[in-house]
Amino acid sequence: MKPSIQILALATLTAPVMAQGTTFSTPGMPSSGRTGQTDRFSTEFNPAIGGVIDTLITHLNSDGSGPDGFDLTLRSFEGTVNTWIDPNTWAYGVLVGTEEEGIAVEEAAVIYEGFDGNSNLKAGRFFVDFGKQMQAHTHDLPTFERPAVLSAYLGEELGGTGLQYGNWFPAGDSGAIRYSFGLYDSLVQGHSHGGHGDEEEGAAQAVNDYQEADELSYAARITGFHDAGENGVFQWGVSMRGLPEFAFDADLDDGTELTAEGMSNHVLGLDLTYGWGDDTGTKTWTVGGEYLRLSGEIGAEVDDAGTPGVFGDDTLEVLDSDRDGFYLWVDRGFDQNNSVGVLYSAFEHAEDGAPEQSELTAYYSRNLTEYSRLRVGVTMTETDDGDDSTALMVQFTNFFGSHAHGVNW
Amino acid sequence: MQRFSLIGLHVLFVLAALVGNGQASPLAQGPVKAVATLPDIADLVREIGGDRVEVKAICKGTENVHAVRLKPSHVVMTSRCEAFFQVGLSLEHAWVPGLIKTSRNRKIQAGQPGLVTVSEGMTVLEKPASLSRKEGADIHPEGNPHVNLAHGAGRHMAARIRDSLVELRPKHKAEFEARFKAFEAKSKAAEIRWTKLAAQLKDKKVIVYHSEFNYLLEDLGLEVLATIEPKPGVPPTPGHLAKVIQIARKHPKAVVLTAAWSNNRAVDRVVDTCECCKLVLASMAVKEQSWLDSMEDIHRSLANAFEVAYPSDEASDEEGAVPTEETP
Repeated sequence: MKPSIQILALATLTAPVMAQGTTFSTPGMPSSGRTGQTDRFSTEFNPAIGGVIDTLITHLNSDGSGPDGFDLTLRSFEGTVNTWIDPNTWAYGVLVGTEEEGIAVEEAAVIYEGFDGNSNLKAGRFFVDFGKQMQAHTHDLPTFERPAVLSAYLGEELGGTGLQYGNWFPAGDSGAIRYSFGLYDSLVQGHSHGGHGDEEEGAAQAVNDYQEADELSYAARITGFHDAGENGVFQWGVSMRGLPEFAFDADLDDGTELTAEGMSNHVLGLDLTYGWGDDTGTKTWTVGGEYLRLSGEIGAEVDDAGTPGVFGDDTLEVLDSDRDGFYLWVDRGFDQNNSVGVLYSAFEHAEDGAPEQSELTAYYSRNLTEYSRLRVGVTMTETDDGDDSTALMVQFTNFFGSHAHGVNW
Repeated sequence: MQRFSLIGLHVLFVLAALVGNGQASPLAQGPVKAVATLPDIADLVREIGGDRVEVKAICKGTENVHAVRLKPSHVVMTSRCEAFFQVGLSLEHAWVPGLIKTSRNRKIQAGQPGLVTVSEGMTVLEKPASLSRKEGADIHPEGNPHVNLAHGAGRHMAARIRDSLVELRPKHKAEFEARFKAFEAKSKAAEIRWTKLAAQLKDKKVIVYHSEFNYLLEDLGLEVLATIEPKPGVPPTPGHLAKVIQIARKHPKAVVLTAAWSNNRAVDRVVDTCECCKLVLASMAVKEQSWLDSMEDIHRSLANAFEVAYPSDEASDEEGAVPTEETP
């Protein structure tokens, strides 16, 4: 550990901690609040608590070798807490339980806002500030799933453990510009639930547990918002996610493990969104899109160029190239309770030959109340390899208690 | 290449921070730069503050005040203001706390003199006995928040505004007091007209979509026969609509009151199957309209809908019960 970090750590450890919870204690025992206003069993200063139950029924019809039939899923049960810690600091946590992955801490972050001006510092585990839809949890998305290009280039979720600096400033009287920059332990794909590396069988991206500063993953975003007439808002944004140093592991059928080390890549995103609402605010149009470019060492494939069927002479060939993709989305709100929309996404896979995939989703959302939403729709997927599919979906999402995430504007 | 990108981003953000921090802070003793949630409140701030204030309203006056779509200009004006006026009682709860937090304006944070809740001290209707979403989606813990339509609301809100402006600009206290007195006189005259109208509307009945007009209806003594929303914030079911239609058919002279942002297809289904007439009422002033003019329009609309004559100014001057100093 570097001396400066040691001093900081020592200072932190020796500082008095004024946590809540007065109780009898003897010298040397864990510190309890000497000025605490609550005791162990009081509830006055408890955080705001909320939850979400998100269920999904899917009927999948595949042309290729994919699965067919119904899938009834409790997609997630989410528990959230939000609280002020002191006048300058607030925090939130998001625990998510899924049928497939059990319970995981998706977000647990502290935000310090005690600086002059509009800057803030966020620390902990949280969804990274990238584009318009990557910050949102799945149940808060306008469609059933995250747009395919985002999932392919950034992962189903882009959660990272790290530190993010953010700020905003006015741009004239009718606009604002916000920016953020963050450093993270890891932003490799599939890293959304705390482990290092992808859970996918056979191949995984991974980073070292301990990294030099210039090996840390990073993300940055700058975005502007501007009034567009009496009833409209226009937003533009540029985002970047970088993996300066990671390894790609592949497990062969005979148990041999191949690793390509020292890889790096980044994703650049450009987004534009326009929103309009009538004078009552109930009839709305939202049109948006995001273009992504994945560049650098974007993957690796096993080269079976040696003796066929013999694994010992296989090598891992790194793919150093660029891939592009985008999504476009249109949503029409008819009133407070009903909306329809279409989302189209297309992208090149990070594989040799850049096979393409496209996805078209159409949906109807009915807000039964402010806290209960029923959504029906269809997603048609086409791929160059012929694994086309059509999914009919019904999503039922219910919110209770307070509901909020660390989503930026 | 990755490291160059990193350095470039750092430089970009530092430059952006320098530009951002160059914003001028509001002048301490010039006009009070104020933001008001509703046009009603903005009007009253102008009435009391005169040239000593520069106020902008966020709502246009036609939208659902529980769910206002904020624009970047709202964030910017809130970040620069010295005073922020809201109704309170959770009326603007869906968007004001987030707006104030995002603005990072220390002058208008909770507990600061710059954050003014004009409903403070009003007598509130429909305070729920228990807090449960079983009782509805739009449950306001502190009671019905649509107090701006109460007859005495103008005087009460104006008094709160006067007090806050005196606190922010003590040297102009006499001016604010004089302006308040002038407004109070105008409001009392109008309240006499409205009280006379209430006498003419005795025994008249209404059906409402939501509960935003309840203070007005209470002051006018209008009886609410049914509410098209089965519970606050819950869209009507076919079964509930059928019950409302049955009631409406029994009272053909009742007026169905609704707002522009309500689910008016459901309202039309009721109106189309009976002889009741539909009246779309504003639930606040629109844009630059004054609170008094807005209330006058609302009362004239009701008089027309119930086919009664609207009391004249002369009638107000003759006798009539002079409103007491009590506020709603």
